[in-house]
Amino acid sequence: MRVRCFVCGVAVAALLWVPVFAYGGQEGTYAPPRTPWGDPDFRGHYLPGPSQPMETPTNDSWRLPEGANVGQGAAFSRFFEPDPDAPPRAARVTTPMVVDPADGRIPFQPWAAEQRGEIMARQDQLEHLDPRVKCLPSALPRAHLPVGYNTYQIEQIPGYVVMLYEWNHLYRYIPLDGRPHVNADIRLGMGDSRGHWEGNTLVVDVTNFTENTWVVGHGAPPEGAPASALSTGHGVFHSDALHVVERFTLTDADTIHYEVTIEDPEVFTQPWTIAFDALTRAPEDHMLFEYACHEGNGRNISLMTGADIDAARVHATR
Amino acid sequence: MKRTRSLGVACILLVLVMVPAAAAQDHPGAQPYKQVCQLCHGSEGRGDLGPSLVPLGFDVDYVLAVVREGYSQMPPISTRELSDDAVRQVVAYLESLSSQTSGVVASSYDGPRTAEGQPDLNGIWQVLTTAAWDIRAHNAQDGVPAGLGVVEGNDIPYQGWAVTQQQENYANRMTADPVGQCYLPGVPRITYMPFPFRILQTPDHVIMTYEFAHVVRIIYTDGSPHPLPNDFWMGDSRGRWEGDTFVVDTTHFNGRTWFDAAGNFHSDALHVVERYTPTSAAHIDYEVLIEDPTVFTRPWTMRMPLYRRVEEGLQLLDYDCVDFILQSLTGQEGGAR
Repeated sequence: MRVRCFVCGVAVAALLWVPVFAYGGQEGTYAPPRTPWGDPDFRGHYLPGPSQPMETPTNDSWRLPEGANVGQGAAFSRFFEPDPDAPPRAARVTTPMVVDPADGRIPFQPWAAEQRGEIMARQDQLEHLDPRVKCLPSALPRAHLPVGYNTYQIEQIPGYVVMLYEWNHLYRYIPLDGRPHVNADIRLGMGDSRGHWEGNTLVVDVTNFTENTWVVGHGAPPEGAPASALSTGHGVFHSDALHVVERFTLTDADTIHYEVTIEDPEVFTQPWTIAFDALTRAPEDHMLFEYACHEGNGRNISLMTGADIDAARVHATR
Repeated sequence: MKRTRSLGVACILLVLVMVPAAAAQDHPGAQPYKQVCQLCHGSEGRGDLGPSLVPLGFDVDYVLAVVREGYSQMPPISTRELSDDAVRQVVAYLESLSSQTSGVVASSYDGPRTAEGQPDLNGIWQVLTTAAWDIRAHNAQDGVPAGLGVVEGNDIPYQGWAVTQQQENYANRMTADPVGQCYLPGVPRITYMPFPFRILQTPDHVIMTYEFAHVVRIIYTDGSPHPLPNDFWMGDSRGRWEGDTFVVDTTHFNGRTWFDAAGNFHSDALHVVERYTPTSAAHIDYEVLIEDPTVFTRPWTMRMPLYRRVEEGLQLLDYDCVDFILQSLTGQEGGAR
């Protein structure tokens, strides 16, 4: 009961919160082509944008808690060696993605910062292991962060924008007709998306997330920062109160700028915003291939955590 | 009276098929086809020991690669037996046969159409059969409803060894079913899983998105061929419209999926041709031709209706079986409360 009142209070505060800055001034400078039915035309194939640190880079934004498994942290960083087969990427951007608050840091509540440290230190435990390694859905905005496996196909039909993700064959239908979100008891790995147009910008309101995914997390630690630093964005968890508002804007024929506000009064002290060029138009012959994640990752998970996922597969769905 | 009319229709069809087929025998690719390919792929590419090559879903480069390197049961063929030019002529011959046989079928469809004039299949669909448990006729078991089956003639023409393999699969089905392990179900099983799926139809693609394990099939309708050999759980799908029927040709399977939970199976030589024929705004006649010369003695067919889900505000939700497996390992309740 007490928790609930606390949540209500913060939710009201969040409603009153008004963004002061128009981040980047990206909107309204480029007139995108239109679909036959008059919507801005985002259709096509896209690669991820340039890699970029999540937070203002520091080497001390996260510390190992007492008694943590240091070796696992070191092993974990090996996952972020450059992938020679990844599509070519634009040059690295060094400014942080976090544009609000102004210090460029994720505004964790103190207990949540501690919990995040625990999660990062205990990647050898299945309940803390990166949900994407476990082949759970990316959730949002994580699905749009600059990682080689994140490639996209956007389709539009009257009344809908549909986004298809190569990684783990995820997809989401974004209805544009103003319908309300599904019942609050329904939980969805990619959340429940409702969109509308504001000028040439696609604004998507996303709720109804599960509790077992991360808000962000990507493989681009800035130069000089350890992979364990928060600047990688890893381990930023959320509660089922997560509310995400995304703004997709074509800033030229080939670039979609992405600005997203993350609100979760149970984990963060205030709503926070990240902004970056998330989607770059792919070469003509790009296609999404089958990314059968769960089918391929069982051995990895077993090695990392000691859990026998192959045996569990046989029994879990019976 | 009825019989006379059928006979009349049959005669017309026979004429339609025979006339161009006779002309095709003069094609420069007909002779090398007969000499080298016909023994396995049958007269006029209709399939025999090897899969049917009409309609031909591959381009010249692909065929050349397969001819020289072999594929599955097919041995490599040297340039002495069949020159590169002869392969090109054979491909042209098979393409000429393909364009003749894709005759327009009369349609009584009166539902909505796209701007391009095709039936508009956009929306959420689902089967109401029990094929997900067993595609053949079966009695009820605990948690499994009885069903009349969806296989034409209720006869799956397994080779001798495959009859035994299927029986073994059935006996071990509670642990051996790949879908029970949350692997992608393959084609056509994904269609008749007891979950809704949504068809997204655009001028360039038909994209099928399924609630079960958020499976996606992107079906290219731009006339592009199958890619060079790669294996996929869901295969590689290429589609085309034949009149009001959407025909999907799928190959390049990895051979690790089953047709149902009763152990009916195939190999990586599986070739699936699905025919989606809308008969009204809310019904699609779904017919599936199965070819796999490694496992079956002849091609065979499944058929069932797809029904449009019409509930207001309906949307696909999640059935993420990965989450269930993780929950069983950690003893924690997952995100889907």
